[in-house]
Parts: sequence; C-alpha cells; structure tokens
Amino acid sequence: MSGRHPPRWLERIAGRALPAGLSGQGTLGDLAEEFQRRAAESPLRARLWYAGQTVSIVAYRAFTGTGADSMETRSDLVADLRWSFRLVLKHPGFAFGVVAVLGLGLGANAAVYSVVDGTFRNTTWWRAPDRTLGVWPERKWSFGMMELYREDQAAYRSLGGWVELAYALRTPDGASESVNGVAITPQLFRELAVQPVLGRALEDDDALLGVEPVVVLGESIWRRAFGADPGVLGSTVDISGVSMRVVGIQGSAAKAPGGRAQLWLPLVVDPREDDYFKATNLKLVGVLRDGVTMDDAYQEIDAFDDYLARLFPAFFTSDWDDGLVRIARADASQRRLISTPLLLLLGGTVLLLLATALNVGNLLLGRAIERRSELAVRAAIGAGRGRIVQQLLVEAAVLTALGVGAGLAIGAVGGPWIRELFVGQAVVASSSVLSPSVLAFVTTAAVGAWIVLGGVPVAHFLRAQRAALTLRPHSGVRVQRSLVAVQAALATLLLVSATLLVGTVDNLRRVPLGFDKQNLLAVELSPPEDRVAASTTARGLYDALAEEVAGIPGVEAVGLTDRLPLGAPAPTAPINLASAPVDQVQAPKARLHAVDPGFFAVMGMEAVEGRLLDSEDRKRGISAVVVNETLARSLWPDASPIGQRIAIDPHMWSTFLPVVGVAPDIRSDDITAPPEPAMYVSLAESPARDVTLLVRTRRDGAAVIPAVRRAVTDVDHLVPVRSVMWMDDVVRAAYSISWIVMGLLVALALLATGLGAIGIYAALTQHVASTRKEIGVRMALGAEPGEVVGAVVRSGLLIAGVGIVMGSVAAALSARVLESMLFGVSTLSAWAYAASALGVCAAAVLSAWIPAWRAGRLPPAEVLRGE
Amino acid sequence: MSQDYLGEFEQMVLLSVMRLGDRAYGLAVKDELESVAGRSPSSGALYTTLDRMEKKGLLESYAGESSSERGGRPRRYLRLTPAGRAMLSETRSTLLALWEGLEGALDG
Repeated sequence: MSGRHPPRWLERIAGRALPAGLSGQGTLGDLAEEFQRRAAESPLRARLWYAGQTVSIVAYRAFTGTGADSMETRSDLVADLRWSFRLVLKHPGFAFGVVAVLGLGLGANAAVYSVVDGTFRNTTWWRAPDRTLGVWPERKWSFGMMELYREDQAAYRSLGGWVELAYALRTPDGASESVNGVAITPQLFRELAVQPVLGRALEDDDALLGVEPVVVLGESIWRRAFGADPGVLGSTVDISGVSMRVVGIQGSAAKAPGGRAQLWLPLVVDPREDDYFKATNLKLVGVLRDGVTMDDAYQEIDAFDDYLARLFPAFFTSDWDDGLVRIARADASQRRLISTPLLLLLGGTVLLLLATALNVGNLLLGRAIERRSELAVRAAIGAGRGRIVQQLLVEAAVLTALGVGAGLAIGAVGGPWIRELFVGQAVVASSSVLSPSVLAFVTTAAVGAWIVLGGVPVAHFLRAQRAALTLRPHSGVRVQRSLVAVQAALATLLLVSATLLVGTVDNLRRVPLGFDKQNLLAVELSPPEDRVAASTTARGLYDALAEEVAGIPGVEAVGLTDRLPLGAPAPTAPINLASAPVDQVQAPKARLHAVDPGFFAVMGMEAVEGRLLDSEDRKRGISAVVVNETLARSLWPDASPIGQRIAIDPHMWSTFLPVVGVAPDIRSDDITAPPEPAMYVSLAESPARDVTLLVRTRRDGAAVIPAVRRAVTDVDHLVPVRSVMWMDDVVRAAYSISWIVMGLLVALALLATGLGAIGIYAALTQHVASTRKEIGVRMALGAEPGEVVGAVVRSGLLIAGVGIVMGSVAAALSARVLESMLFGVSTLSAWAYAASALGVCAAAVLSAWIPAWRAGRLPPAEVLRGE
Repeated sequence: MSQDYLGEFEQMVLLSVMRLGDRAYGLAVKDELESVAGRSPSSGALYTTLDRMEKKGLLESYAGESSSERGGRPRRYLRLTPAGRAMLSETRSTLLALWEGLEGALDG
C-alpha cells in the first residue's frame, strides 16, 4: 500500500459533479488509479494533474448539463450561459468595451468603499474596544501619577500609557532618518488589535530599569529600510544614539496609537528622574476587567482623584471632569474630519456607476434593436416570452460578472491609492476588496447595475412585443434617448459638485494669510527630552540652531516657533487682566504661540503698534507679551494695549506680564476660519520640546535644504529633523483634503461626461441609421446638408438640455451634502451651474457632430434607391 | 437512429472499447486512445462522452473488481450494445462510400 491518495477535497468536488452510481464511482476509481501511477513519478505533478482533471470534469458537467441533476430550467440556464459566453467571444471588442466601462464604474465604487469601510469599520486600535477606556484623555499625565494609579487600581486588567515621540533611526545604509515612535507600557501593547507579524510582542520585563533596550519595528519601515530582512530580528539598531535589540516586527495598522508610528518601545519609567512628576503628553488607556462596569471604574478613579488632589494640590487647579472616555468615541471625532469627503466621493462613484450601467444598458438596447428580427423570429417559432427575457438577463449577468472581476481588480489597486492620498491629512484605512463587507457592497452595486443594464433591453423587448408584430423602429430609440438624457443629468450633477469644489480650492488658495509663504522653509525639530529639560540648555540649543542656520549662504532670515504654522492649532490660554481680574472659567481665551525674536522678521510681520519681541527682553529680565490685532480689539476696544498687564498662566494667575506691542493678524491656525485672538510669548521663557525652524531663503533656495539638515546635525546630532517643508506646501496641505476630493470629483465628473457623450453619439448614430429614408427624402426635396447636420446636432442638444435641467434640479436638491466642504462658494452659485451646463452642451455638440456630419453627406438618390 | 451521427471522438472511443474487448474500462480506453490514436482527452471530455453514449444506448457498463489503489471503487467495464455496433458500422460504410474512388486522390 503506497499510501498515496488523491487530495480528498478535490475528490469530493469531482464526486459532486459526477453522476451517482457506477458511472461516477467508476470515473473516480479510474482517476485514483491514474493518480497512483503518476504519483509514483512525481507526487506534486500528480496533484496538479488531479486538480486539472477535476476542473475539466466540473466544467464539462456544467456546460453540457449531464451532471448530477439536469432539470430543464437548469439546462436552459446553462444554454443561455454558453450562448452569452459565445457572444462575448464573438464580439470581443464590444464585450471588452462593456466590461471596461462597467469595471470602471464598479472599480471606482470598490476602491472608495474599501476606504470607507476600512476607515469606519476599524473603529479602534484595541483588541477589546468595548472595554477599553481612555483615562482622562485631556489631562496631562506624568509618569509618576500613572505609576501611582497603576498600583492603586483594581478595575482594569491592563492599564498603561503611551507617548508618541520622534526618534532618529540609523538605517542599514548609514543614513539617519526621523521616525515616529510610540513608547508604550508593554501590557498595553499586548492589548492592541494588531500584534507582531514576526518575533514577539513587548513584554513586561522589557520595561524594567537596566535591562537591554529593545524595540519592535513597524512593518513598513522594516520593508522600506531593512528590505524585509527577517535577519533583523535579534540584531541591534541605533535609535537616537541608543543601541536597541529588535525583538519583533509589528503588523501595519492604520489605526494605531501615534497613527503612523514605526517604532514600538517599552515605556520605561524611572522614578529617579527629575521629571517623574512633570506633566507630559502621556496618554493613559485601561482595559476593564471582566464584570467591571464603566461606573465602577468612575467611582474608583474619583477616589483616586481625591487622593491625587491631596498629593499635588498645585496641580488640580482647573475643572477636569472628562474622566473616562470610550476609545471608540474618541476615535469618532478624528473620523469626522474625513467622513464628509469620503461619503461625498462614495456618492460620486455611485452616480458614476449608474452612468456606466445606463451607458452599457444603452449599448445592449442598441444591440437588442439590431437583433429585433432575430428575437421576433424566435418568439414566433415558440420561444416563450420568459425564455427570451431570461436570455437577455443572463447575457447582462455574464457581462456584469466580468465587470465585477475587472472592478475588483481596479478596486484592489485603487483603494490603497485613494487611502495613500489621504494619509497624513486624516485617519484613514482601507479594507481588502475581498473582505466580506466590500464584496457585499460590490455585489449589491453589481446587482443594481445588472438590473439597469438587463432591464433596459428587457423593457424594450416587452414593449416591442406588446406593440405586436408591427415593430416600429422608433420604439426603442425613444427609450434610448431618455436614458441618454439621464446620463447627461448625472454628468451635470457631478460637474456642478466638481465645479463648486474647484471654486472652493481656488478661494482657499487666495486666502490672505498675513505672512509671506514664498521661499519660506519650515523645519520641524524634535530635540530629545533631556536637551530641553532645562530652560537654559534649551535656550542654548535654540540660539545655537538659529545662529548656525543663519550662517548658511542663501539664508536671509531665521526664526523659531513652537509649532508649524498651519499645522496643529496652537493651544488656547485663559487671560487675566490686571485692570479687571476675572476667574479662570470666565476668562477670555487666546491662542498662545511661543516664538523667538527672529520669528516676526522671518514671517514678514511688522508691529502695528508698540514693538515686537526682541532679544533685549531677556537681558532686561522682562517676560513681554505681544498680542495680535484681533485680541487687542476684543480686550481693549477703546484703549491702547501697550503697557497693559495680563496673566496667561493658570498656575500663576496673578503674575502679570506687560503687553509691549500689537502684531498683525495672520492665519496660522485654521486657514478657513477668520483670524483668532492670539498672543506671542518668548520661546526662551517657555521652552517647548518640538520646535519649528523657519528659514527665509533667497529665490530658488532648494540648495539650502541639505545645508540646513547638516547644520542641525552639526549643532546636535541627536536632534532629529522631523520634516523639512516649503511653507507653500504646508499652506497647500492645509486645504489638501478639499484639493484631493476636488481632484477625484473632477475625474468622476469628466468620466460621467465622457460616458454621456458616448451615449449621445450612440443614440444619434442609431437615430441617423433608422431615419436614413426620411433624411434622403428631405434632401431630395431640397434640404441643404447644413440643415440636416443642424437638425441632428439640435436633437443631440435637446437630449443634453433635458439632462442639464434634470441634473441641475438634482444638484440644487442635494447641495446640502456638499455644503460643509465648501468655502466662499454658495451651493447655488450660478456660474458653477452655467459652467457645467456649458460643459455638457459642448460634449453633446462634439459627440453629435460625427453622426450629423455623416447624415449630411448621405447621397439622397442612393438612399432612396436602397430602400 | 440514422438522424444521429457519430462524431469523430465518439467513433474513436467506441473503436477503442471494441479493441479492448473485456478489458475495456475508462482508464484503459484513455490509454488506448493515447497509444493508438495519439489523443489524450481530459477526464471531463472522456467521461462525459462515455455517459452520453451510454444514455443514447450505444454503450453499456457493468461493475468490475475494486482495489485499494482505486480507493475501493469498482472498475466500470464497458461494452458496445447492438445499437452501438450498428451505429459504428453505419458510420463506417457511410465514410467508405464517400471515400470510394478517392483513395489515390490525396497522394497526388
């Protein structure tokens, strides 16, 4: 006994296709016997052979209807299927066109839906989202407070913190690259939904003091910088000057703490450090134990809060009562940013699919009209109406199925592509097109498309039948024209939306920023904690950086700020007035920017009143404040702000600082909002960890970039450069979501318009063909070719006109969907509608021209003789 | 019967079954087709044809011995029915009639 046996699952498939009884058993026996023979030579080849034979058996049984059951309807269906496939092979060009158009429509839907699904489905990073809570997410936790609470608590099975940091990673080619990383409590790391694909997760021992530093690399940096080499596991890499052993490769997840973090380190807490109780960007997350409710957790943390308040009275000045937040809900606010654009795009792709289905339906209708006599004959010789309807529907189904295949292929490429467009602007993810929900959506869309493109010829056939044996050629043409009008309407609707967004982006581009964004370089730096821990070292670092960079040839001015203008909005701070003290709750608020004296010069800002911050302040020992025009107006509408005294630190509510000047309003927070009240304090007085170096270069300063990088490394090689961007690009990034949505919608609108044009072309060609005689007669009676051409073009314009009216009404009714995406453009702006109508008309004239020109050249005598 | 006509592959299969006599079962037919006619049909094609011809009454089958290498399944032995023989002979004479006088024509 050799023990070699054909793969059982293949045998089962073949067995199911074969008839029961001796025939089936004999066949399976023969196959087994031959398999033995072949397996003696090569088991692998034998398996492949068996698989091939199974496929051939299943295929033969399916197409010849001599399988296990062969009921009549089934063989009809099989016959229809074979016939439809034969039709595809017989007219490959037609089939290719149809499948390409349908595939485009379905593919666009699959792509956008896979992003929608990925973004909205993966609501959380965590394995047990229902039990995972953000603990005081708005609070500035310190390591010490976290450790106290971790020891104290009983409600959570895992409780820990994570903090996002930028690290300098030395890649195998010797370059140093700035990479976002997350330092996380190992217990918490193991609660993440995505776990390492290679190696191991972080373990509790990794976070002990004095053990060898370890790191888990993110999958994408492992692929990009380490060539997906599994040998990296166990080796050491240099991360911000520390040699760390790689213990795992973390799978990619768009939704991870830190978003695009590519390094995962154990959060090591050292109670001996000075800043043990200093507030940080630490985020606390807990996963509740079984049976513990959120209420229980509240009670526990309330008690702990009292305890903390006794320990750190100075720390508990303001009202923190946000307590516990379900992580899923916290995520929701992040997703709100992207939901409108994505749903808008999905709406656009659904409209495009409708347009493609109508287009293909029209083509099939055209073919049904051509095959009118064939269908009539078949009906006459006894093919039931049901049989013919079934045949038409099967034909549409075969084309749709092929379209689904093409669509999934397009979607598989398009989904990640669209995701990548948004990455960096918003929290997005994409599901695989083969995931159940995307497949379900595509299937639903395909069934919808099938109903449209099968329903059109069927409806025509049934009507023609009802019109009995006198099949007038116009009966289908009218249907065809109304379908084309609907296509023109869809094109109009999409064009209006696209045009409104073009206007929005144009407006955003023209927003007066208040500063000169040309030739301005923004360099984001993340000095390590210890470099800025002490204000003095930080000051030294900043001054050294500014000095070094200012010395680069081609650099005109250098300034520093605590955040990238138009990056994340600056925090707000309450303001207490020396002249009229208020409590913190009622205090007016303004955005607080920490800048160095060079900031104003590099941004091109000049004092409106008084003076701006200067380097003399430090020598004089003054902590001066500069306010912007908006804040000056709101605080002192009738008096000069100069010399006023304000307090801006909640912890030093009675320490008043002098206002020394008024700076012009600039849009450095939200580009779409009017300038907000803002104030500027000295960066040296309130050192920030992350700073942005602003460098004004001479025209064409690209050569400065490497020099700036080098200068930063020269000053301190442990200061990673997070990014180097032209301010021009940063400004563009501030409206990039509008820009991306606009681009995609414009593409969809142009596709829909193109499809509409093809529809008009097809309808008019058909029209000209079926009215040859009429045209011939008219020309014989003296009509000029120009008149004939004009008549055809006019009928094209008529179709387009009906569509434009329908589309405009639809656009006006659906304008609210778009409203939140628009800036400075009314949803009913006349020019958008006019431009769209013009576009559709132009497409109509262009596509009507060819059939019209042909009609005008018909030789009347020949046409009449031919009839 | 005469409205049905044997296809080329059907003829080959029937002839192979005849040549094999009481050793004719699916795999043997396949081997015979391969060694004599140089044809190696897929299992789908061969067994569908066998079933179809049995349904038409040209072939009949009976269970033979089983073995472990066949997974305990019996061989399905085949033989021609009288109708099958008649059909084959009719096809042969039709073809021969058509060929008459043309024997040398292909050589020239």
